[in-house]
Amino acid sequence: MAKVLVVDDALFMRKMLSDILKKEGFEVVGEADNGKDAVEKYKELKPDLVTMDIVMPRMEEIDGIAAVREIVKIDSQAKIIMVSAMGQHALVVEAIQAGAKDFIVKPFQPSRVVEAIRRVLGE
Amino acid sequence: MGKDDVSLSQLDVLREIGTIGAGRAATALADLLNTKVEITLPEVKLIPLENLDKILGDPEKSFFVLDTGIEGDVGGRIFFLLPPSEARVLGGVLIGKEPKDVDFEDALFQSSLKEAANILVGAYMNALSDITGLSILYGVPSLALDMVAALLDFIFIQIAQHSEEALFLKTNLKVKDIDFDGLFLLFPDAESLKKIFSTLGIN
Repeated sequence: MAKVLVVDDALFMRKMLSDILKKEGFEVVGEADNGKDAVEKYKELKPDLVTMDIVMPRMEEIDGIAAVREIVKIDSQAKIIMVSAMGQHALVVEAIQAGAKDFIVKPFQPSRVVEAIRRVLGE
Repeated sequence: MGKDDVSLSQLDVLREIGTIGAGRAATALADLLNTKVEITLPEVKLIPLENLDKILGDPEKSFFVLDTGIEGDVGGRIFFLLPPSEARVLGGVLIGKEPKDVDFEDALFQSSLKEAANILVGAYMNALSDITGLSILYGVPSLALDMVAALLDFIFIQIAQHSEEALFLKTNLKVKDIDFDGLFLLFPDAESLKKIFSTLGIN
């Protein structure tokens, strides 16, 4: 069972994503509501995959994209999927360049989330 | 640029942006709620800030207000306003509660409403960006329950320093046979408004 870390500043989106993942048999090992906490939890929990909100408040200069850079520094094989809203193409490109593997656009269908996760995990 | 300077073609373009945005907003909200959403064509106006009180009405009336800054090629600020009674229903659908059981202080309710409003704002901004070709980035939104009087104070003190007019967009959404009237107020800074029209070849 793949372990997933869910990162989003919105409690509702964390709950929504966690519910989708649990229903599909993934283990949500942790949640974080900012980039700094995401980096700390990545080190501690060593998840197989991270879903990362692209726009979050900066916490000690770490937003969603900076968190991707930090995690990739720790683990060059990290599997990170960005969660973006419509119209954030430029940020998505920046995140992919920083090391994210894929992205999903809010609002999402559960099937799209699962499909992206399985693809990135190589299942 | 003042109200009298807004030509018919400018309003036509703004209406077109509103219409495309409404379609995208309906699709986005339907995906989020996993239910059918109907949306009427929005009423679109460009309003001088000093006339906003007439649009917003009773100063003691309250709204849930999503507030987010925009940057990129277009700078400014966006508000999305939803009356509390309608927020109760929309939030209730999202978190699986009956409207009467929704607690405005509940963090999950506030978060769900913020996401829904943010997704609707994103749909309209995406339409504006696609039509003009201008890059519009929006920041982290905040949500608060405010009275119209407080909202107007904020607009006159903070926003009037950079913007002279608001693009007002009133849209009606129907979810599960319940009507929602959402009000969008986009406050582009003065240069950005000129840029929007200039990009579209309208002076």
